Amino acid sequence: MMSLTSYLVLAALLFLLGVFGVIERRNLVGLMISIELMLNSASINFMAFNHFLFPGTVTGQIMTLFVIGLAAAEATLFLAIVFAVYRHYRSINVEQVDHLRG
Amino acid sequence: MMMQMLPEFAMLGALLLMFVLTLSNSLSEKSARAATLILAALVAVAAWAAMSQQGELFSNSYRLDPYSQFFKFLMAVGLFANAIFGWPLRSIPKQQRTEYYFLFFAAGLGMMLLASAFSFLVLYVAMELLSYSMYTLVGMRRQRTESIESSVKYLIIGASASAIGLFGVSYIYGATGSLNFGTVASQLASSSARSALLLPGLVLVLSSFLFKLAAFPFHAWAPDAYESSASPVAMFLASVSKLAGIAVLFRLVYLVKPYLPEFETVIGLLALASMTFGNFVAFRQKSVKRLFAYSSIAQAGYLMLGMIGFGASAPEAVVFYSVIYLLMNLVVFSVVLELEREGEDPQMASFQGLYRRNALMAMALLVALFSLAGVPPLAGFFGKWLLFSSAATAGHVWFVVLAILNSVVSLYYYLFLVKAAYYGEVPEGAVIGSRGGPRLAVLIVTIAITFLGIYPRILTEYIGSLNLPKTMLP
Repeated sequence: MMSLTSYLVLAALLFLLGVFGVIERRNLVGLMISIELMLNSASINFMAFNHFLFPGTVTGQIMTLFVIGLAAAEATLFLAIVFAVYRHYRSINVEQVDHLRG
Repeated sequence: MMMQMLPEFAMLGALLLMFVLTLSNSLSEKSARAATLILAALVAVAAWAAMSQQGELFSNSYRLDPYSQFFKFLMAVGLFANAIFGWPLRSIPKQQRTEYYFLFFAAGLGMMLLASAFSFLVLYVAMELLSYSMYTLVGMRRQRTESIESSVKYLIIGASASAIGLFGVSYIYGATGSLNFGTVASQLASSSARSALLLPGLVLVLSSFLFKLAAFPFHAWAPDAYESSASPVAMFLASVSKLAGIAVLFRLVYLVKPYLPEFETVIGLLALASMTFGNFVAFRQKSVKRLFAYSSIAQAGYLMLGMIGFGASAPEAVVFYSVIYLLMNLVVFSVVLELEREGEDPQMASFQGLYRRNALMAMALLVALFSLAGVPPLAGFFGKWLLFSSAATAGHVWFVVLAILNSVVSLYYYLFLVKAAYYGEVPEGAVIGSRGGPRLAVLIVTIAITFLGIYPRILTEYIGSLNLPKTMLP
């Protein structure tokens, strides 16, 4: 039987992986996946808290559904912008998409 | 409920109508703009009509109180003003101009929902609605590749910030079992055993708000986004979209603050960092839009300083300064738009000799910049005085002293622009502004800034009559 703590640790690790990815990845799609990892780690937290601490309520589950929906919307928008970036720069590497300074 | 949420429904109606209009290719730009002006005016009327509404909707996750209703009205007026000032849409491709107006209302709806959000769920959804619209708006300037670059940067930083905030919300949920602001605040009041999760959660949520406000250390997107987006979008970012961040951040701070004295110091320090960073980096800027981006980072700092004030003075100071902040930025960016050439941004040099080319705009710029710097007797001075005295009564005298020094520093770079506008030689081939419409509007706003500086009572008494310190609490 898994305890709440193991879920929380899993979520925290995923979150940190996501943060690390956002800092380290140089590929736009990789960045998007890292952000998705952060969102999903939050979802795991919501579900775990809901299941272990507040059984009988659905607040956490509803929040998770919203997170999934909005993450999908975000992915769509992100990919559309990545396409536009590719059309301009012929690359989706952030190091080549770097003209603004200051 | 229809009556209570009238402004939101009006905005939703406007949004849907604009969406239908984008589908028809025959719509000319002029008629799209006319439709936007009429719809924005209707939304403002609806927001005015719903001013006295109060109540809690959707099992207390959506709160209507004088605070939210005032901010909604201010946002609606701000949108209307943006539709007037933010024109012509030179740098946005022709076929996308109706889409611009559609996204304009989508962002507006997100802002209005934010002003009333009383639960983290509503907050998250509303913030994403606003953010997604803004990401797209920033990337709309297609002639320049930098636009899409800043859009992708804005999106990455924004999406990470909201993911961080969401992770924080999950801890808050774990600590309290609720997503409601009121419940979270009352749980804080009675320190239970689980509250070890609460503080990290709140800190993470706070950092995602700082991103929305473009406050230090989450400001990095702002200068790029301002510089490379079309000027009307930059005006939107600087004026109304800031209001939404202010409204929701202050609501949360106000609820949480009484139980967490440390929070005050943290916000105060971040406020100081924001001002100092914004003001000192603004010095070195060549591009005027970048300069105003850094200046808005500094302004966010002043506002955050006012938020930590004590008791009754804080809400009044924050609301008053929000009004003034909107007016000042509208004027500043309409001058930027006036000086904009085809596809190019105004640099410092474009301000040379503005006085000889266009005396009205030069005068408006002077008033707005002095007001931003806080020179009496303009409204910005009184607004800052309220913010600073609110922080001082809470005992943060040192913060206030440093903030005043910061205002002096900011005067220096604002004066550079004023000097260029009044004493500079007119450069060859300079643009002579010739837009008829917005001039009258600029004049009206400029007079309002001066008038509110001399008779701030008109506004402060009205804000006082809303009884914010009482009505904001659940």
